[in-house]
Amino acid sequence: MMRLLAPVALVAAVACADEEGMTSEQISAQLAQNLPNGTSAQAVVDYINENDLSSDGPVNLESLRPVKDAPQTSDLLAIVRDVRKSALVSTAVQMRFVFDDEQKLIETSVREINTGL
Amino acid sequence: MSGIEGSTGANQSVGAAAYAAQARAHANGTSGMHSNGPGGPGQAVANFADLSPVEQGRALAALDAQTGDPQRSNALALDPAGQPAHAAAAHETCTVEVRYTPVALGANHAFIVTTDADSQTYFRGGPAANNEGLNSSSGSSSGDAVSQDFDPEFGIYGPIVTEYGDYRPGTVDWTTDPSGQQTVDEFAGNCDEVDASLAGTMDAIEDARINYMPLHQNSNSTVREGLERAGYPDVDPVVWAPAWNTQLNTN
Repeated sequence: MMRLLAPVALVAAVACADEEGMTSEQISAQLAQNLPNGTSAQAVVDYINENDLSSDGPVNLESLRPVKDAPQTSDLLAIVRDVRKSALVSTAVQMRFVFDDEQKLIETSVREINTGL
Repeated sequence: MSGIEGSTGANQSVGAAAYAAQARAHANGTSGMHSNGPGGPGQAVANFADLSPVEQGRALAALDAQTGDPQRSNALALDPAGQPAHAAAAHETCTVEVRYTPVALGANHAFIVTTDADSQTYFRGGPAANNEGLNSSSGSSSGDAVSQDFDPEFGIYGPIVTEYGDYRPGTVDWTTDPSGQQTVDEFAGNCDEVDASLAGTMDAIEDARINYMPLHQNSNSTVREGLERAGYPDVDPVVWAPAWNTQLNTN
């Protein structure tokens, strides 16, 4: 029964109002202002945790992974989920921080990723 | 282009070609149950046979040390048919899974996770936009937001975009509590071949710019398409995954 009614409910849900949260532009601006290139990995980790920028729980230095094809660098991912939600799709903002061999920040990128059915 | 890494940094681009190259590089003895691609049994033997006698001896000694079972290296040395070559990878297992996260009203979003000794990789699809055509910002770097103009060819969700890469915290589908999880296959060897196939399908789907339609062609259709092309055509989702059976035309 649920499976019969659910598609109707899903179609109806498409018309629901969006929920709005932080935008990728806001997060980008925040990171650019507070985490310039040269920032230490530990400072980046602290900033992410202190500002709730990781929906997957606190990050730490062990979260850094070597970058494929660039063994002298490592990266750290953080994601803020559900910054925007429509009825059937939610948007997350993913941040990627790349560090050099001294664990100094050399690149920051931010992007939105959508998840739906 | 697809891939978390591919979208955000050239250094981490993990395209189908890269996976295929990896698969070829690791072809020796890694075919497991999948013998139709690079790395089939014949290839494994040919590579072993290409080694010099000294190199063969070293390889066999290393195999002994790794497995603790000299019978395996003996069999490899003695059997020209090469089946024992799989012994080298017998301790490694590739697991192909579909996992799900809830979306709304009991409906779920599916994605694929492959796991072997060296890596855990995800493959997924989703809408390019969220209820606003292609006006949403899809990527930015250090405050330089990039916006795409609305494309009337597509609806409010834009086309299906795909990605794949290391499955780890911070990736879009990361969860320790999926709403569903099923093992599609488990076989001896690594996941290189199946990863290459899945990556190729993800690229093809994105390149085809297929309109994302939540109830008709979506992330679940993307997963089913990837599985089918990787040799798993009869997978039934363990939870409700709308549009699972939709065929995605990438021609």
